[in-house]
Amino acid sequence: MPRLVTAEHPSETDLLNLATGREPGEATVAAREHVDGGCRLCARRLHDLSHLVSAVKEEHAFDAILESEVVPELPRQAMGRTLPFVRPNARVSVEDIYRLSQAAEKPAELILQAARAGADELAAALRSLDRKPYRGFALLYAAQKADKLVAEDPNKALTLARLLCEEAATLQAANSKERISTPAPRQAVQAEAALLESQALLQKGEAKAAREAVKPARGFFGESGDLGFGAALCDYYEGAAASFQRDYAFAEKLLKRSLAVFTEFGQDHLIGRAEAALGTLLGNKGDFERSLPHFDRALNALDAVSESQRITMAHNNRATTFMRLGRFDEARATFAKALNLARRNSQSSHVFFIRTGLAELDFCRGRYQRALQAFREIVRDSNPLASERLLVLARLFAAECLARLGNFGSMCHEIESLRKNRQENPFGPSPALGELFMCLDQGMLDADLIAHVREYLQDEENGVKRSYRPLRLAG
Amino acid sequence: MTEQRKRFAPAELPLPARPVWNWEELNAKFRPRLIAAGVIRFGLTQDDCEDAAQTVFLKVLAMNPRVRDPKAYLRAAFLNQCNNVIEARERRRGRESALTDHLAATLIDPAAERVKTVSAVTSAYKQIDPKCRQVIKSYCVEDMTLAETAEKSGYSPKTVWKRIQECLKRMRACLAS
Repeated sequence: MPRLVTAEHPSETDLLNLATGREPGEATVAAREHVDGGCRLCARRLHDLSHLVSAVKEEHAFDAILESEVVPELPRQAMGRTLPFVRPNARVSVEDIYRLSQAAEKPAELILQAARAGADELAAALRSLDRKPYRGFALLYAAQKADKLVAEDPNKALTLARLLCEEAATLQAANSKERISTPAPRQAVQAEAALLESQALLQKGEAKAAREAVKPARGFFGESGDLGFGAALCDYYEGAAASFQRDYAFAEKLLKRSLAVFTEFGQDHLIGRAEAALGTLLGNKGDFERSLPHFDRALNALDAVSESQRITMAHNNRATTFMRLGRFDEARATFAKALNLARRNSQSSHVFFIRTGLAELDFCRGRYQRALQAFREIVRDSNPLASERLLVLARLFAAECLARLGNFGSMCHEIESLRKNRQENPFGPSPALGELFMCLDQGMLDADLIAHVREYLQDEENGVKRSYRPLRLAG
Repeated sequence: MTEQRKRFAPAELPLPARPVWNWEELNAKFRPRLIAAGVIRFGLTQDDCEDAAQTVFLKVLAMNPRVRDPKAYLRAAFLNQCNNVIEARERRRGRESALTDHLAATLIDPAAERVKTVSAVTSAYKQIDPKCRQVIKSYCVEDMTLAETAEKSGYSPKTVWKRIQECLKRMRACLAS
């Protein structure tokens, strides 16, 4: 049984020196004696530190070989179990496969161009690959590069995804039971095609189908002998779809898992995307304090040139988070940065979101005249692709500004025009709007009621499920 | 005047493009070092490491449009593949020595442990400040004194010690998870 040690515990410095195996000094010797004396707490502290130090040394030793000037000499290999004349032919030259993959880059781009042009062009582009040695890589790269097409036209991206999956059926299968995998096997193309399908479906707003589409991708990646990266991509895309579906807990789990693997594989652009997705998710949940560091890390990781769209959105979402936290000056500066980027890169759909955010910021600061003007401009300038829900909220904000400025006639006119378009209004069936219109008729409409209705609809938009509590028509 | 106009003309935005890989460096320099690291650090056979390197090079080529830092990808994928090789070897050994599955599972290969450690430390390093990383390496690996580490990093010895404490704490949490 270990005896009780009552002497003062050694400092962390002494224990760390002991763990790193430094020259024994007076303090280190005393620390060793203390641990050997049976202090279980310090023995555990020392064990933890030693484990950490040895882990750091192990990693350093591995890296030292990778960064060495000269390749270290390896011990002579003993005769393996396979006959020596079988081994050399087992591996195809990586150089040859690299050349194949390079030859596939242009055909992959041509497939994407053909997908934009139409079905006949796409079929012709796919047929032009027949009997070409780089066909597998071309199909694979086309699926991976099609994310731009998803943003431009999700229907065309969906068609492309399904065609790529069909085309891949004739490719060589992965040989996961062999020691070396097949280059660009059928399963890898099908997995990427399934991920493309998921992205296209999500872009179309079909979050449930998008999540379903990821499932076969997981299976295909598994069959192709995935080393963890494919599974992380599946987690990321399913997490994005689950977040869109407001299944926040599950989405957070998936996104965190994907982030860990992207970090392990050192892919900064994917780390940035996963961080931005996590920040947005937490912001939608109302957990603003936790979402800020995610945006900061996303902005550090994303590349300013190739990821400009994501950077703009990350700035916008970070600014919104500042606004919700009442840090208005920081919010304004961040919105300005986002707007500047969006205008410079002609990202018109992003400009709409940022302008909405800036108008809301003016509203939060009590600058109702400025906010009113901004919300009216947003409604006036909106294009057909603008979110209908955000437009309704902008009109409610405008009505609230009018009420707070004492312009009740214009306020009633604004709400009346909302009622006229109730059929097309995405919040049309909401009981909140029912109370708003009823109070308009009864002359009980004021800024507080509009704010009450607007906050309820904003919560509904963010996926917060709560029943509507009438403000004026209670009982 | 023309000169002035030129100065104020809107700067042309570079096209978003993937960085081009230095294939020569990857294949001729990085590949043999990966193989050597697998043999020396994890005790795998050269054949196993060559197969693992071949597999991860095919994987990185298959993921080409998605991968921006091929070296980091290859390093992580190679570690995972080494882990797979060690696990397969363990399963084979378990069958050959007629151990029960339960008993075989309890015998953890130190090589597998080392592979996992390297992966975990890499991930943990990614989550701390690069300057902190340097401080940790100087103090724990290169055996520098606090004063030497402080001089090298440009911090005061007190700050260095504070940083070491913070980083070790965070790394411990990363390794534990």
